[in-house]
Amino acid sequence: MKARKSYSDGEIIEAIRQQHPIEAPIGYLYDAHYDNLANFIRKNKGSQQDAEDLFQEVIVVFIELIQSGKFRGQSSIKTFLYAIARNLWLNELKKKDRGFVRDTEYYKISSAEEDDLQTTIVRNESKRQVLALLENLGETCKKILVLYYYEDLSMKEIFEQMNYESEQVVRNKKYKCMKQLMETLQKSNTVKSTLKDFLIHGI
Amino acid sequence: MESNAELGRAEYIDRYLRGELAEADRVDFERKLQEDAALYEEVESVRSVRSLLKNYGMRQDLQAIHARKMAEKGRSSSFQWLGSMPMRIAAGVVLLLASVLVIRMATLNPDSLGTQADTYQPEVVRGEANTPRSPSHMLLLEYANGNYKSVVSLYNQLRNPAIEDIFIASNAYLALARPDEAIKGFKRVLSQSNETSDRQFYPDAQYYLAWAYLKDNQVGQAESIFSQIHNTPSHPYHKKVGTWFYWQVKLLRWKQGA
Repeated sequence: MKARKSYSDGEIIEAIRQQHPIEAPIGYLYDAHYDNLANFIRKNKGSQQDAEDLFQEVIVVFIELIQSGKFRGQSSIKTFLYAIARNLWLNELKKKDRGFVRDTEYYKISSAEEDDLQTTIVRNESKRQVLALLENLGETCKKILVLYYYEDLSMKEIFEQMNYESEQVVRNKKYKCMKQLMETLQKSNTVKSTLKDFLIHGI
Repeated sequence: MESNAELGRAEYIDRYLRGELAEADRVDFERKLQEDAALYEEVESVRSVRSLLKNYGMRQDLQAIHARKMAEKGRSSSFQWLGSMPMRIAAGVVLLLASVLVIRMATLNPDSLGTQADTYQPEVVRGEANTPRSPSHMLLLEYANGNYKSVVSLYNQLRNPAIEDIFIASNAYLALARPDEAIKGFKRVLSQSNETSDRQFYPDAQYYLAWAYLKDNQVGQAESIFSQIHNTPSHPYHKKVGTWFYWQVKLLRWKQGA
Protein backbone atom coordinates (compact mmCIF):
# COMPACT_ATOMS: atom_id res chain seq x y z
CA MET A 1 0.00 0.00 0.00
CA LYS A 2 1.14 3.51 -0.62
CA ALA A 3 2.29 5.80 2.13
CA ARG A 4 0.96 9.36 2.11
CA LYS A 5 3.71 11.89 1.73
CA SER A 6 4.26 14.38 4.51
CA TYR A 7 5.28 17.94 3.65
CA SER A 8 7.48 20.53 5.31
CA ASP A 9 6.14 24.09 5.59
CA GLY A 10 8.51 25.13 2.80
CA GLU A 11 7.30 22.40 0.44
CA ILE A 12 3.66 23.32 1.00
CA ILE A 13 4.31 27.00 0.38
CA GLU A 14 6.27 26.26 -2.77
CA ALA A 15 3.60 23.89 -4.12
CA ILE A 16 0.91 26.53 -3.57
CA ARG A 17 3.05 29.24 -5.16
CA GLN A 18 3.58 27.04 -8.22
CA GLN A 19 -0.21 26.43 -8.27
CA HIS A 20 0.13 22.90 -9.56
CA PRO A 21 -0.56 20.31 -8.36
CA ILE A 22 -2.14 21.29 -5.05
CA GLU A 23 -4.28 18.25 -4.23
CA ALA A 24 -1.64 16.42 -2.27
CA PRO A 25 -0.24 19.32 -0.18
CA ILE A 26 -3.71 20.66 0.61
CA GLY A 27 -4.81 17.14 1.49
CA TYR A 28 -1.86 17.01 3.85
CA LEU A 29 -3.01 20.26 5.53
CA TYR A 30 -6.35 18.59 6.18
CA ASP A 31 -4.65 15.54 7.65
CA ALA A 32 -2.31 17.58 9.81
CA HIS A 33 -4.50 20.44 11.01
CA TYR A 34 -8.20 19.87 10.47
CA ASP A 35 -8.93 17.99 13.69
CA ASN A 36 -7.28 20.57 15.97
CA LEU A 37 -8.86 23.53 14.22
CA ALA A 38 -12.28 21.87 14.19
CA ASN A 39 -11.88 21.29 17.91
CA PHE A 40 -11.01 24.96 18.38
CA ILE A 41 -14.20 26.01 16.58
CA ARG A 42 -16.35 23.55 18.51
CA LYS A 43 -14.94 24.87 21.79
CA ASN A 44 -15.90 28.37 20.71
CA LYS A 45 -19.61 27.96 20.13
CA GLY A 46 -19.26 26.43 16.69
CA SER A 47 -20.94 23.33 15.34
CA GLN A 48 -19.30 20.54 13.38
CA GLN A 49 -20.72 22.07 10.20
CA ASP A 50 -19.26 25.47 11.18
CA ALA A 51 -15.87 23.80 11.62
CA GLU A 52 -16.04 22.14 8.21
CA ASP A 53 -17.13 25.32 6.41
CA LEU A 54 -14.60 27.43 8.23
CA PHE A 55 -11.66 25.16 7.54
CA GLN A 56 -12.43 25.32 3.83
CA GLU A 57 -12.36 29.12 4.02
CA VAL A 58 -9.17 29.03 6.10
CA ILE A 59 -7.47 27.18 3.26
CA VAL A 60 -8.75 29.68 0.66
CA VAL A 61 -7.41 32.62 2.68
CA PHE A 62 -4.13 30.81 3.31
CA ILE A 63 -3.65 30.22 -0.43
CA GLU A 64 -4.51 33.85 -1.20
CA LEU A 65 -1.95 35.06 1.31
CA ILE A 66 0.76 32.83 -0.14
CA GLN A 67 -0.01 33.63 -3.76
CA SER A 68 -0.12 37.36 -3.11
CA GLY A 69 3.24 37.13 -1.33
CA LYS A 70 1.74 38.18 2.01
CA PHE A 71 2.76 35.09 3.93
CA ARG A 72 6.19 36.02 5.15
CA GLY A 73 7.04 32.74 6.80
CA GLN A 74 7.63 34.44 10.14
CA SER A 75 5.21 32.02 11.74
CA SER A 76 4.75 28.31 11.15
CA ILE A 77 1.88 27.18 8.94
CA LYS A 78 0.18 25.71 11.98
CA THR A 79 0.29 29.03 13.83
CA PHE A 80 -0.84 30.88 10.76
CA LEU A 81 -3.79 28.59 10.10
CA TYR A 82 -4.90 29.12 13.70
CA ALA A 83 -4.63 32.87 13.26
CA ILE A 84 -6.73 32.73 10.09
CA ALA A 85 -9.30 30.48 11.76
CA ARG A 86 -9.49 32.74 14.79
CA ASN A 87 -10.03 35.86 12.70
CA LEU A 88 -12.59 34.26 10.42
CA TRP A 89 -14.46 32.79 13.34
CA LEU A 90 -14.42 36.08 15.25
CA ASN A 91 -15.97 37.78 12.21
CA GLU A 92 -18.57 35.05 12.03
CA LEU A 93 -19.43 35.38 15.72
CA LYS A 94 -19.74 39.13 15.35
CA LYS A 95 -22.21 38.61 12.52
CA LYS A 96 -24.17 36.29 14.77
CA ASP A 97 -23.78 38.72 17.68
CA ARG A 98 -22.23 36.04 19.85
CA GLY A 99 -19.38 36.15 22.33
CA PHE A 100 -15.65 36.11 22.18
CA VAL A 101 -13.08 33.56 21.11
CA ARG A 102 -10.96 31.88 23.78
CA ASP A 103 -7.33 32.77 23.39
CA THR A 104 -4.63 30.21 22.90
CA GLU A 105 -0.90 30.59 22.47
CA TYR A 106 -1.04 29.14 18.98
CA TYR A 107 -1.99 32.15 16.93
CA LYS A 108 0.40 34.85 18.01
CA ILE A 109 1.54 36.27 14.70
CA SER A 110 3.25 39.56 13.93
CA SER A 111 1.16 42.70 13.65
CA ALA A 112 2.14 43.07 9.97
CA GLU A 113 0.89 39.54 9.29
CA GLU A 114 -2.24 40.27 11.30
CA ASP A 115 -2.92 43.38 9.16
CA ASP A 116 -2.43 41.47 5.91
CA LEU A 117 -4.65 38.74 7.22
CA GLN A 118 -7.49 41.11 8.08
CA THR A 119 -7.23 42.84 4.69
CA THR A 120 -7.27 39.52 2.86
CA ILE A 121 -10.30 38.32 4.81
CA VAL A 122 -12.27 41.47 3.97
CA ARG A 123 -11.20 41.28 0.31
CA ASN A 124 -12.12 37.62 0.25
CA GLU A 125 -15.67 38.44 1.26
CA SER A 126 -16.04 40.77 -1.76
CA LYS A 127 -14.56 38.14 -4.05
CA ARG A 128 -17.07 35.59 -2.90
CA GLN A 129 -19.86 37.93 -3.92
CA VAL A 130 -18.40 38.33 -7.41
CA LEU A 131 -17.75 34.61 -7.72
CA ALA A 132 -21.42 34.01 -6.94
CA LEU A 133 -22.23 35.76 -10.24
CA LEU A 134 -20.55 32.90 -12.07
CA GLU A 135 -23.38 30.68 -10.95
CA ASN A 136 -25.58 32.53 -13.46
CA LEU A 137 -23.62 30.91 -16.27
CA GLY A 138 -24.69 27.48 -17.43
CA GLU A 139 -22.73 24.42 -16.32
CA THR A 140 -21.27 23.91 -19.80
CA CYS A 141 -20.04 27.50 -19.95
CA LYS A 142 -18.43 27.25 -16.54
CA LYS A 143 -16.77 23.99 -17.46
CA ILE A 144 -15.34 25.29 -20.75
CA LEU A 145 -14.08 28.53 -19.20
CA VAL A 146 -12.50 26.78 -16.21
CA LEU A 147 -10.83 24.20 -18.45
CA TYR A 148 -9.43 26.95 -20.66
CA TYR A 149 -8.50 29.66 -18.17
CA TYR A 150 -7.78 27.66 -15.01
CA GLU A 151 -6.62 24.30 -16.29
CA ASP A 152 -4.87 26.00 -19.21
CA LEU A 153 -6.10 23.31 -21.61
CA SER A 154 -5.98 24.00 -25.33
CA MET A 155 -9.14 24.11 -27.47
CA LYS A 156 -8.15 20.75 -28.92
CA GLU A 157 -7.90 19.20 -25.45
CA ILE A 158 -11.26 20.66 -24.42
CA PHE A 159 -12.82 19.41 -27.65
CA GLU A 160 -11.51 15.90 -26.91
CA GLN A 161 -12.59 15.98 -23.29
CA MET A 162 -16.10 17.32 -23.84
CA ASN A 163 -17.03 15.36 -26.95
CA TYR A 164 -18.00 18.33 -29.12
CA GLU A 165 -18.48 17.93 -32.89
CA SER A 166 -15.42 19.97 -33.73
CA GLU A 167 -12.76 22.20 -32.26
CA GLN A 168 -14.41 25.19 -33.94
CA VAL A 169 -17.66 24.53 -32.10
CA VAL A 170 -15.73 24.72 -28.81
CA ARG A 171 -14.08 27.97 -29.91
CA ASN A 172 -17.45 29.55 -30.70
CA LYS A 173 -18.99 28.27 -27.49
CA LYS A 174 -16.10 29.55 -25.37
CA TYR A 175 -16.28 32.95 -27.05
CA LYS A 176 -20.01 33.25 -26.35
CA CYS A 177 -19.60 32.11 -22.74
CA MET A 178 -16.83 34.62 -22.13
CA LYS A 179 -18.86 37.41 -23.70
CA GLN A 180 -21.86 36.55 -21.54
CA LEU A 181 -19.71 36.50 -18.41
CA MET A 182 -18.06 39.81 -19.19
CA GLU A 183 -21.40 41.47 -19.86
CA THR A 184 -22.68 40.23 -16.49
CA LEU A 185 -19.61 41.47 -14.68
CA GLN A 186 -19.46 44.86 -16.39
CA LYS A 187 -22.91 45.82 -15.13
CA SER A 188 -21.74 46.87 -11.68
CA ASN A 189 -19.02 49.29 -10.62
CA THR A 190 -18.51 47.39 -7.37
CA VAL A 191 -17.87 44.25 -9.35
CA LYS A 192 -15.41 46.09 -11.59
CA SER A 193 -13.39 47.24 -8.61
CA THR A 194 -13.37 43.76 -7.05
CA LEU A 195 -12.30 42.34 -10.39
CA LYS A 196 -9.26 44.57 -10.29
CA ASP A 197 -8.56 43.07 -6.88
CA PHE A 198 -8.46 39.62 -8.42
CA LEU A 199 -5.95 40.92 -10.89
CA ILE A 200 -3.72 42.59 -8.34
CA HIS A 201 -3.87 39.98 -5.62
CA GLY A 202 -4.56 36.78 -7.53
CA ILE A 203 -6.55 34.07 -5.84
CA MET B 1 -23.98 36.59 -34.57
CA GLU B 2 -20.38 37.33 -33.77
CA SER B 3 -18.10 38.20 -36.62
CA ASN B 4 -14.99 36.21 -37.33
CA ALA B 5 -13.02 39.38 -36.68
CA GLU B 6 -14.40 39.65 -33.12
CA LEU B 7 -13.71 36.00 -32.47
CA GLY B 8 -10.23 36.28 -33.92
CA ARG B 9 -9.48 39.36 -31.84
CA ALA B 10 -10.64 37.63 -28.63
CA GLU B 11 -8.52 34.58 -29.41
CA TYR B 12 -5.52 36.77 -30.14
CA ILE B 13 -5.88 38.44 -26.74
CA ASP B 14 -6.13 35.01 -25.10
CA ARG B 15 -3.01 33.84 -26.87
CA TYR B 16 -1.20 36.96 -25.74
CA LEU B 17 -2.24 36.45 -22.10
CA ARG B 18 -1.31 32.76 -22.24
CA GLY B 19 2.12 33.69 -23.55
CA GLU B 20 1.53 31.81 -26.80
CA LEU B 21 2.44 34.57 -29.26
CA ALA B 22 5.74 34.50 -31.10
CA GLU B 23 8.21 37.05 -29.78
CA ALA B 24 7.82 39.44 -32.73
CA ASP B 25 4.01 39.26 -32.51
CA ARG B 26 4.12 39.86 -28.77
CA VAL B 27 6.29 42.94 -29.15
CA ASP B 28 4.05 44.25 -31.91
CA PHE B 29 0.92 43.63 -29.82
CA GLU B 30 2.37 45.39 -26.77
CA ARG B 31 3.20 48.38 -28.95
CA LYS B 32 -0.45 48.48 -30.08
CA LEU B 33 -1.54 48.26 -26.45
CA GLN B 34 0.39 51.42 -25.67
CA GLU B 35 -1.20 53.25 -28.58
CA ASP B 36 -4.77 51.98 -28.35
CA ALA B 37 -6.50 52.76 -25.05
CA ALA B 38 -9.63 50.77 -25.97
CA LEU B 39 -7.58 47.69 -26.77
CA TYR B 40 -5.63 48.11 -23.53
CA GLU B 41 -8.89 48.30 -21.58
CA GLU B 42 -10.19 45.18 -23.33
CA VAL B 43 -7.05 43.20 -22.53
CA GLU B 44 -7.19 44.29 -18.89
CA SER B 45 -10.82 43.18 -18.68
CA VAL B 46 -10.00 39.76 -20.08
CA ARG B 47 -7.02 39.55 -17.74
CA SER B 48 -9.29 40.29 -14.75
CA VAL B 49 -11.90 37.75 -15.79
CA ARG B 50 -9.15 35.21 -16.38
CA SER B 51 -7.97 35.80 -12.83
CA LEU B 52 -11.54 35.45 -11.57
CA LEU B 53 -11.91 32.13 -13.37
CA LYS B 54 -8.61 30.90 -11.96
CA ASN B 55 -9.90 31.75 -8.51
CA TYR B 56 -13.17 29.95 -9.26
CA GLY B 57 -11.33 26.89 -10.56
CA MET B 58 -9.10 26.83 -7.52
CA ARG B 59 -12.12 26.97 -5.23
CA GLN B 60 -13.74 24.12 -7.12
CA ASP B 61 -10.61 22.07 -6.61
CA LEU B 62 -10.61 22.94 -2.93
CA GLN B 63 -14.25 21.91 -2.63
CA ALA B 64 -13.45 18.56 -4.18
CA ILE B 65 -10.52 18.06 -1.82
CA HIS B 66 -12.68 19.14 1.09
CA ALA B 67 -15.46 16.71 0.18
CA ARG B 68 -12.95 13.88 -0.18
CA LYS B 69 -11.23 14.65 3.10
CA MET B 70 -14.48 14.94 4.99
CA ALA B 71 -15.56 11.61 3.54
CA GLU B 72 -12.28 10.06 4.64
CA LYS B 73 -12.57 11.46 8.13
CA GLY B 74 -16.13 10.32 8.47
CA ARG B 75 -19.14 12.15 9.64
CA SER B 76 -19.10 10.23 12.91
CA SER B 77 -16.95 13.12 14.12
CA SER B 78 -20.17 15.13 14.03
CA PHE B 79 -20.85 13.72 17.42
CA GLN B 80 -17.53 14.42 19.08
CA TRP B 81 -19.05 17.25 21.09
CA LEU B 82 -21.04 14.70 23.01
CA GLY B 83 -17.83 13.32 24.44
CA SER B 84 -16.97 16.60 26.11
CA MET B 85 -20.29 17.09 27.90
CA PRO B 86 -20.48 16.29 31.61
CA MET B 87 -23.91 14.80 31.10
CA ARG B 88 -22.65 12.20 28.66
CA ILE B 89 -22.99 9.28 31.07
CA ALA B 90 -26.47 10.27 32.12
CA ALA B 91 -27.49 10.60 28.51
CA GLY B 92 -27.14 6.86 28.19
CA VAL B 93 -26.37 4.57 25.36
CA VAL B 94 -29.95 4.15 24.26
CA LEU B 95 -30.61 7.86 24.05
CA LEU B 96 -27.39 8.38 22.12
CA LEU B 97 -28.23 5.67 19.62
CA ALA B 98 -31.71 7.06 19.22
CA SER B 99 -30.29 10.55 18.60
CA VAL B 100 -27.80 9.22 16.10
CA LEU B 101 -30.55 7.41 14.25
CA VAL B 102 -32.83 10.43 14.15
CA ILE B 103 -30.04 12.78 13.02
CA ARG B 104 -28.76 10.22 10.57
CA MET B 105 -32.15 9.96 8.95
CA ALA B 106 -32.50 13.72 8.77
CA THR B 107 -29.04 14.35 7.35
CA LEU B 108 -28.82 11.34 5.09
CA ASN B 109 -27.60 12.21 1.61
CA PRO B 110 -25.01 10.79 -0.82
CA ASP B 111 -22.28 12.96 0.69
CA SER B 112 -23.07 11.99 4.24
CA LEU B 113 -22.60 8.35 3.24
CA GLY B 114 -19.09 9.33 2.21
CA THR B 115 -17.60 7.77 5.33
CA GLN B 116 -17.55 4.50 3.44
CA ALA B 117 -16.06 5.94 0.26
CA ASP B 118 -12.49 5.05 0.98
CA THR B 119 -10.45 6.24 -1.95
CA TYR B 120 -9.06 3.39 -3.99
CA GLN B 121 -5.54 2.61 -2.78
CA PRO B 122 -3.36 1.12 -5.51
CA GLU B 123 -0.51 -1.24 -4.80
CA VAL B 124 2.77 0.58 -5.38
CA VAL B 125 5.92 -1.48 -5.09
CA ARG B 126 8.18 0.09 -2.51
CA GLY B 127 11.57 1.22 -3.77
CA GLU B 128 10.28 1.53 -7.30
CA ALA B 129 7.63 4.04 -6.42
CA ASN B 130 9.55 7.10 -7.50
CA THR B 131 10.80 5.86 -10.85
CA PRO B 132 8.12 6.02 -13.53
CA ARG B 133 8.70 3.29 -16.12
CA SER B 134 5.89 4.03 -18.54
CA PRO B 135 2.97 6.45 -19.00
CA SER B 136 0.74 3.95 -17.20
CA HIS B 137 3.15 3.69 -14.31
CA MET B 138 3.42 7.46 -14.13
CA LEU B 139 -0.38 7.63 -14.02
CA LEU B 140 -0.38 5.18 -11.12
CA LEU B 141 2.29 7.12 -9.22
CA GLU B 142 0.47 10.41 -9.67
CA TYR B 143 -2.66 8.75 -8.38
CA ALA B 144 -0.81 7.26 -5.42
CA ASN B 145 0.48 10.73 -4.58
CA GLY B 146 -3.00 12.19 -4.69
CA ASN B 147 -2.36 14.30 -7.80
CA TYR B 148 -5.70 13.49 -9.35
CA LYS B 149 -5.75 16.29 -11.88
CA SER B 150 -2.41 15.14 -13.23
CA VAL B 151 -3.88 11.65 -13.53
CA VAL B 152 -6.75 12.95 -15.65
CA SER B 153 -4.39 14.99 -17.78
CA LEU B 154 -2.05 12.02 -18.37
CA TYR B 155 -4.99 9.74 -19.05
CA ASN B 156 -6.35 12.05 -21.73
CA GLN B 157 -3.00 11.84 -23.50
CA LEU B 158 -3.06 8.02 -23.69
CA ARG B 159 -4.06 6.79 -27.14
CA ASN B 160 -4.98 3.25 -26.12
CA PRO B 161 -5.44 3.19 -22.35
CA ALA B 162 -5.33 -0.23 -20.72
CA ILE B 163 -8.10 -1.37 -18.39
CA GLU B 164 -5.98 -0.41 -15.39
CA ASP B 165 -5.41 3.12 -16.77
CA ILE B 166 -9.15 3.59 -17.28
CA PHE B 167 -9.82 2.29 -13.78
CA ILE B 168 -7.26 4.59 -12.15
CA ALA B 169 -8.44 7.61 -14.14
CA SER B 170 -12.05 6.87 -13.18
CA ASN B 171 -11.06 6.86 -9.52
CA ALA B 172 -9.28 10.16 -10.06
CA TYR B 173 -12.49 11.61 -11.55
CA LEU B 174 -14.37 10.31 -8.52
CA ALA B 175 -11.87 11.96 -6.18
CA LEU B 176 -12.22 15.18 -8.15
CA ALA B 177 -15.98 15.15 -7.59
CA ARG B 178 -16.70 14.48 -11.27
CA PRO B 179 -18.88 11.40 -10.88
CA ASP B 180 -20.32 11.64 -14.41
CA GLU B 181 -16.87 11.04 -15.93
CA ALA B 182 -16.13 8.39 -13.29
CA ILE B 183 -19.32 6.51 -14.25
CA LYS B 184 -18.33 6.50 -17.93
CA GLY B 185 -14.89 5.16 -17.04
CA PHE B 186 -16.00 2.43 -14.63
CA LYS B 187 -18.62 1.25 -17.12
CA ARG B 188 -15.90 1.05 -19.74
CA VAL B 189 -13.77 -1.05 -17.37
CA LEU B 190 -16.68 -3.45 -16.79
CA SER B 191 -17.46 -3.66 -20.49
CA GLN B 192 -13.83 -4.30 -21.49
CA SER B 193 -13.45 -6.83 -18.70
CA ASN B 194 -16.44 -8.71 -20.12
CA GLU B 195 -15.02 -8.60 -23.63
CA THR B 196 -11.61 -9.87 -22.58
CA SER B 197 -10.62 -12.43 -20.01
CA ASP B 198 -9.02 -9.73 -17.86
CA ARG B 199 -11.25 -9.62 -14.78
CA GLN B 200 -8.63 -8.12 -12.47
CA PHE B 201 -10.45 -4.81 -11.95
CA TYR B 202 -14.02 -6.04 -12.38
CA PRO B 203 -15.04 -6.21 -8.70
CA ASP B 204 -13.22 -2.96 -7.89
CA ALA B 205 -14.92 -1.21 -10.81
CA GLN B 206 -18.31 -2.53 -9.65
CA TYR B 207 -17.83 -1.16 -6.15
CA TYR B 208 -16.55 2.25 -7.22
CA LEU B 209 -19.15 2.52 -10.00
CA ALA B 210 -21.78 2.17 -7.28
CA TRP B 211 -20.09 5.01 -5.40
CA ALA B 212 -19.94 7.15 -8.52
CA TYR B 213 -23.68 6.60 -9.05
CA LEU B 214 -24.29 7.55 -5.45
CA LYS B 215 -22.23 10.73 -5.76
CA ASP B 216 -24.12 11.51 -8.99
CA ASN B 217 -27.40 11.18 -7.11
CA GLN B 218 -28.40 8.09 -9.11
CA VAL B 219 -29.27 6.27 -5.91
CA GLY B 220 -31.35 3.57 -7.61
CA GLN B 221 -28.44 2.50 -9.82
CA ALA B 222 -26.10 2.58 -6.84
CA GLU B 223 -28.43 0.49 -4.71
CA SER B 224 -28.70 -2.16 -7.41
CA ILE B 225 -24.92 -2.72 -7.46
CA PHE B 226 -24.51 -2.45 -3.69
CA SER B 227 -27.27 -5.04 -3.39
CA GLN B 228 -25.32 -7.49 -5.58
CA ILE B 229 -22.18 -6.96 -3.50
CA HIS B 230 -24.04 -7.18 -0.21
CA ASN B 231 -25.68 -10.44 -1.23
CA THR B 232 -22.48 -12.04 -2.54
CA PRO B 233 -20.25 -13.08 0.40
CA SER B 234 -17.42 -14.03 -1.97
CA HIS B 235 -17.28 -10.53 -3.46
CA PRO B 236 -14.02 -8.81 -2.40
CA TYR B 237 -15.98 -5.73 -1.31
CA HIS B 238 -18.70 -7.68 0.51
CA LYS B 239 -17.48 -6.58 3.94
CA LYS B 240 -17.47 -2.94 2.91
CA VAL B 241 -21.14 -3.14 2.04
CA GLY B 242 -22.33 -4.18 5.48
CA THR B 243 -25.92 -4.33 6.62
CA TRP B 244 -25.89 -0.87 8.26
CA PHE B 245 -24.42 0.74 5.20
CA TYR B 246 -26.74 -1.10 2.81
CA TRP B 247 -29.71 -0.13 4.96
CA GLN B 248 -28.67 3.53 4.72
CA VAL B 249 -28.48 3.30 0.91
CA LYS B 250 -31.96 1.79 0.82
CA LEU B 251 -33.21 4.48 3.17
CA LEU B 252 -31.64 7.14 0.99
CA ARG B 253 -33.38 5.73 -2.06
CA TRP B 254 -36.65 5.71 -0.21
CA LYS B 255 -36.05 9.27 1.03
CA GLN B 256 -35.32 10.52 -2.48
CA GLY B 257 -38.11 8.53 -4.01
CA ALA B 258 -35.61 7.00 -6.45
